[in-house]
Amino acid sequence: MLFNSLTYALFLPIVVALYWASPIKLRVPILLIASYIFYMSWRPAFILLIIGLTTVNYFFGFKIHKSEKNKKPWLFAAVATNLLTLSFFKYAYFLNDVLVSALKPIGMAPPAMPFDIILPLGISFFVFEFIHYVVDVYRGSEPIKSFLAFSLFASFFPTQIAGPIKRFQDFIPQFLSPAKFSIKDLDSGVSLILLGLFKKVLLADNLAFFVQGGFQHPELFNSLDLWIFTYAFAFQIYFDFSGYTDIARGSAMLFGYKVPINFNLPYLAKNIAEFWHRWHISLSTWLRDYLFIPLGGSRGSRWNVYRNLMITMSLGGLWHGASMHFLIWGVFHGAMLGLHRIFKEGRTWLADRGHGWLSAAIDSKVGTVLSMLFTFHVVCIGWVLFRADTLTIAGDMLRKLFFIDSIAGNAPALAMALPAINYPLIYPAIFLLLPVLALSHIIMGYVDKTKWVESSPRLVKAAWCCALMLMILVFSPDKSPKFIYFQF
Amino acid sequence: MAKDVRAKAILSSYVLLGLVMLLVLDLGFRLADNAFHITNPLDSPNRSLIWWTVNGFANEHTAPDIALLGSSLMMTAHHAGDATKLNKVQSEVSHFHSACLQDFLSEKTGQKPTTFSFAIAGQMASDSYLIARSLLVGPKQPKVIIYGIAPRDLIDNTLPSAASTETFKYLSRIGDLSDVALSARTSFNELFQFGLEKVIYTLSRRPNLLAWQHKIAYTLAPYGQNAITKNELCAPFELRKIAYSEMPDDSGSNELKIAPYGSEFEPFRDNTAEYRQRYAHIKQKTYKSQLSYLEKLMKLAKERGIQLVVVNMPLTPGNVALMPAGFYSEFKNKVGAMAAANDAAFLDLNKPNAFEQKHFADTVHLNGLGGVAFFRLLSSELALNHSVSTALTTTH
Repeated sequence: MLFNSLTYALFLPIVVALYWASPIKLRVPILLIASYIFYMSWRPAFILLIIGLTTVNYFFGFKIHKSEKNKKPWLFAAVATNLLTLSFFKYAYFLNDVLVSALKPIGMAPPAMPFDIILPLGISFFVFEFIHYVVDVYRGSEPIKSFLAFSLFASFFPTQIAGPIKRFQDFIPQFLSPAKFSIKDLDSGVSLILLGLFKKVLLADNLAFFVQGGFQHPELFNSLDLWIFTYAFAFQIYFDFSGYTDIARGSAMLFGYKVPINFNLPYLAKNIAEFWHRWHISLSTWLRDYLFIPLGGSRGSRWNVYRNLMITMSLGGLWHGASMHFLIWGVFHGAMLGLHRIFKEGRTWLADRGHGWLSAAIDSKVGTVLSMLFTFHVVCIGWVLFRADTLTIAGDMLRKLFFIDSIAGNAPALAMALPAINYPLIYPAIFLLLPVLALSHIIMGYVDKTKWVESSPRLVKAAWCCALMLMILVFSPDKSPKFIYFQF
Repeated sequence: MAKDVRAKAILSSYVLLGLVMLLVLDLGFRLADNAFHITNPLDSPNRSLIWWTVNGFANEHTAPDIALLGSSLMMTAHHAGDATKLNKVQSEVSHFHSACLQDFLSEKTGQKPTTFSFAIAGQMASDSYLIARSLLVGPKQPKVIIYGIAPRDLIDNTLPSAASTETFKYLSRIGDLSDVALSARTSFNELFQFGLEKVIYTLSRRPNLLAWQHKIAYTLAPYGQNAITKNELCAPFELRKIAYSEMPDDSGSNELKIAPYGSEFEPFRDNTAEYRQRYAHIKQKTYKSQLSYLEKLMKLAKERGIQLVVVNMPLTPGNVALMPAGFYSEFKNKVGAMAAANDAAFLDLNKPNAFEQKHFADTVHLNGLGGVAFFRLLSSELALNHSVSTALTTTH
């Protein structure tokens, strides 16, 4: 059941109505049943997986909490169970491929996979929530007593498939002291859902079609064209994922629950570290708390910190998908974070010796804009590795993006193929659309940040909702692809 | 008291107010459109084959004597046949008169009829019925309809419902199809969407609004002018391929050209695997529903006094052999009996030895040589048919 489907448009109001019409005691069970129905609408059998993992982690939570001396083995067992489950479903083919390529040169090959493995939807997200739970219980948090509440924490349908990755300390209290019905929450929830749908079906889906052409056939295009495709993907993935998050948060709000934000104007980040504080916030904070810090974090020698960054980001890359290009995307971000750290240290070193000019230049208005542009382009290069179907395509694109083909004399540097293409409409329209999207990133962020909609007069808010509804009704494409993060 | 508070709270909802605004705007649009005809039902954001055909027919000043209906089987025979006969490249989106049929009939009868082809790739029996019902009426009513058919035009196993074709969607905006609107839709989603369009007028005019959006965008876009002025679509083949699989049917005036037979090397395309798949999973529900539309077409023609000729289109013996045992003869018997019951003629042109392998581009479509042969044979049969001759000689 996709958020942008008619089925969800019918399912959600029914569950909301049932929830608020029921006595308080029945509300959590109703939400749990709805969440299981939501999950089963894809492949009913996988409900056993989510129930199984819920039961096992609930048990581990108590074992870890109760064990005075043997906490660590229980924690190890809990984390291993979750990671092995994730690895089996997500990485079995990848590991098999790696093994094949490693053994082939010496004339050996592992047997072919005896069965097909289907990746259960949302597994990467709920497994990370379980790991967070057992680790935090190990660190001293009280385990969740109610099995019902724990089950709902893991399966809550608005965040079930692609997050945001929740923290039980924030979420469980909301179950235990349920919110009262409020028109304000209902209004905020619906307007967030409308905004999310607008981002997904009107912006991301239209851009998806454009991006597909460039990333499938980079051979047709020159350097400047490919930069436009890359910018378009940067906006597509942002609108797709932040649109999904808005719908998830809005849906949760309809039941009176607050779910953490996941994005905060990521393309306005002034450096790569700041980007990761603004992009997929629930994942980056998870990686920080449950991978980077346990590895040693920023403590220890400089090389240890670089190593920790590299391990964290590489595994973060692999979390997105069992594929080399995701791993390299993670390595790229690890390297960029390392370089940023070196640059930051250099800046401090210079400032300590009375050369504050570099800091002053960077902190100036022009410096800030240039930093943002530079960071955006670094992120875009990463997106090429992320989006390209194969490393060969990524390599071809990057070679052209850096004008290497032009320098080698194989392609004219400034010639563009895009202007000659007038169909589909998104091709000629992209030249108008991209500047508007860049601006909209700032405007939408401003709208979110200042809570402009909520603080506006009622009539303005109503007009805003009316405009969103109208645009979604009229301009949605006939086919809407799945959310990008559903595959992870 | 509590009820009052709750009602007040609900009325304070800005989402609800937004919804009311939407309904008011929608009502305003409905009233304005009814009064001032703001939207043109022929407008479409995409240049589908039915769009080209309907617009081409709108430019005709008189009714044709003969209207051709059918799927790509008839369409390729018409275009490839004419391209070969006239020795000139033909455009599938703007060539509507059948030179072959006009000239061969003229040779046989001494009278040259006017023709117009509505044959479109993927046309199902339901589409043919809707074309006849919506377009072949009043001053534009032809004397004869020739409908080329084969089992595949009744059993498309990828067709979700009769209402899901581009032809149905487009024609439902031109005429009132309310009597078939529900039966043509099979899934809950389709019925829900249909109901929503009935309630929200703006939604039913979505193609018009999208057409306006396209016009504005193409006007503003620096490189889109040809797409408006000449209806030319310029995109590399690889991108067109993606568009074909992901977007609604759209063809430019510079696309879909058919060259005369022999001017280009055209090897026989063996599409046996595709048809093995098509015939392996015949959906009886679709088959029955499409047969009922065929019957409706026959009754409609009879009611309007149009002579309908149903033509069983040539197929390669290899293609016929792929059908389940007995299916083809049962199909012919059913269609023949239906035609007889409704005063329509049934011509079986899939005669042994009438067409050879060299006449086919693949196992079902005729090439230029086959197109010429097909219209020559059809003309001979039509000339011998008393009902057709009578219909063609009567005045409107």
